[in-house]
Amino acid sequence: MSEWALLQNYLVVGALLFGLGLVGLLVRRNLIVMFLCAEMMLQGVSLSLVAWGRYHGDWGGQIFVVFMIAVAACEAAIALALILMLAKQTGSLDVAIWQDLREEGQAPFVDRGLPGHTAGTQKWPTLTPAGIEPQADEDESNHRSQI
Amino acid sequence: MPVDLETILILVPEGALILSATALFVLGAADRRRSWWPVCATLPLLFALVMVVRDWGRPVLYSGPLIQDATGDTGRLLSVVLGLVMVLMAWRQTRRKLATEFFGGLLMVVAGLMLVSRANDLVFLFLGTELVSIPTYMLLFLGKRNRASSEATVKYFFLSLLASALFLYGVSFVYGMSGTTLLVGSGDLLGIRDKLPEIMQSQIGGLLPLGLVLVLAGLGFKITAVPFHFYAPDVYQGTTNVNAAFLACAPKIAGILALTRIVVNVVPAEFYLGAKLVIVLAIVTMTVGNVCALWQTHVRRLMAYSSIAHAGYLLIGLALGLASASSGGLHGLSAMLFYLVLYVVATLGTFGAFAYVRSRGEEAEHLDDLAGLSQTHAPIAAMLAVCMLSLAGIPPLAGFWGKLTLFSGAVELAFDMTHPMRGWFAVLAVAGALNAAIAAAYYLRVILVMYFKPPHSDSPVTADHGLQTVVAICSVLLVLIGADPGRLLDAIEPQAVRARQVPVEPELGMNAPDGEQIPE
Repeated sequence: MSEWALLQNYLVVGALLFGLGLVGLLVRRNLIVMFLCAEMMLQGVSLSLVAWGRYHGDWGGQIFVVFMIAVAACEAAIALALILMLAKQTGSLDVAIWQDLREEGQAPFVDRGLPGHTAGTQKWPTLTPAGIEPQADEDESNHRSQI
Repeated sequence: MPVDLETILILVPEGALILSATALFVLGAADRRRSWWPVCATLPLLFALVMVVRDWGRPVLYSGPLIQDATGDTGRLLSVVLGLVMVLMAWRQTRRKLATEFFGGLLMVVAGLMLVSRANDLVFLFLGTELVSIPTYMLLFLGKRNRASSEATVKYFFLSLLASALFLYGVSFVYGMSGTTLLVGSGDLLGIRDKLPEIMQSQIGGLLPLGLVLVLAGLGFKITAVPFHFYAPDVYQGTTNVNAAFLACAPKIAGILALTRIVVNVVPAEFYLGAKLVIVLAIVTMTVGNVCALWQTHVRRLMAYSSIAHAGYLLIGLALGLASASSGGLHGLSAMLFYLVLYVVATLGTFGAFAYVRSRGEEAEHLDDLAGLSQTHAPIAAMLAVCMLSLAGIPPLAGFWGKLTLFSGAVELAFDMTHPMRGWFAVLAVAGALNAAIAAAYYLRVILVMYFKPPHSDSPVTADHGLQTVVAICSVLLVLIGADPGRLLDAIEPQAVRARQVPVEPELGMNAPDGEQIPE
């Protein structure tokens, strides 16, 4: 297989990762999932960079990826801290609750849910309780810890 | 060896800034008194200022990933001054407990801006822009602890992530075409620019438009160009005046400098798609910004749309730079830098004045809060009026000269009978002039409110001398530059042109059509 054809395969996979991430970031409403989608876009970029580096026989692409990973780690640290703070403030990870700031006179977005979907029908997996039940911290249960 | 001692030595101010920022973060945990942290942040900035002024005007030097030229010098000086002014603004405006975090983040951003202005390598450029964005998220979140501020942070954060991913994807194509991360080569090292003629001949040359569009999209977010401007009004409105001043300046400087570095070096001389794209972006951006600003009543929202409109004016300079690369003159780029400096000065002054005015114990929010300012605080009102008039481009002030340099460049190309894009530039010049007229309406409205509306009974000011100094410095600068614009323009211009001339090898002359540029 020629180098060019090999490169194309990697580029296609990279573009798919990038596209999936982009669609996910635009469509999903959970803050954490949105952040993960952005990370997926970066992975697509990394893949194409490495593929291009191999095609040209140049280390620059791989070095770029190493720096990208470092920066992505910084972003992840900030993102998770930020999301945690916001979740503590509001108790929700939904991005659609952040719509107080908007152009004057623009109607707010109202979540009507999916047709035929009711919140009650969903069964979430639970962990089987094990060990001794920890004592409830009254101080903690009365008010949210300071943010 | 591409990185030698010299390269490291010219990074001393950036290194000092980052080290002191780290020290601030660490030591801030030990002592929470607020009085002397701003001083600690000022010292490294002053040191950087001295170093930058000492390096000013040195001969053009390509040292691997770094470049020392006029654009870089201007960018560095502008970023250090921005840092100093922001420290002055935030001196008494930050929250007591979070002062070290704020000033540490600010120093990081200044270091990032300085790196961007010197970068000659895609990796360096990327790291610089990220060093600007990441502390910005933190500064936004530290501003105020309320719902609006959090919302502003969320919006900025996720859109900024998206933008940096788009930018990176574009950069990956630019790298992929050329096989090197170096922008302009020196000596034996070939940069992207040196390889361009060869690339355009090969099959991967077709990726250039794709890379270009993605890079423009990513950086367009930073400078709030139109399809990527949606965050700006909301974010400015949600955050504090000091943070809004910061947001209106720092990312814009980073974006403009990165655009000068990447787009201009990566686009070959006779490739007009880039210029056409930028012209369309410029026209749409100015028009949307100016028209939407007309009916705003919130001061920061108004300024957000104004900053969008100014991004449009700045893009005129980029279009000029792209279209006139073949004719050698790069006055467009120096006009853009000149305009950027004037924009930053006027914007800082405006937000400083907004932060100074309080109404009912809160920061000034609505245009009505400024009512009667001329009677209650005449000096501030006069200085704010100077900033507004400069932003509007009224003749004796600096902003007028900025607009004049940009528009006259476009008009010059429009009347250049041999230029293939003269029609485009004619439209651009007309659109620019019309927009300047529209813009005057909302800037004058602010002045109208200040001077002709009766004052509220309860509009005390913060009595913050830092803010007063900032507003005074900015308005005096605007008047001085307006009186003698040539001096600043000269400081930026001849070197910028020289910087472009040096790296181009004689056999790669930009005048020749692409086909004849392949070095033997």
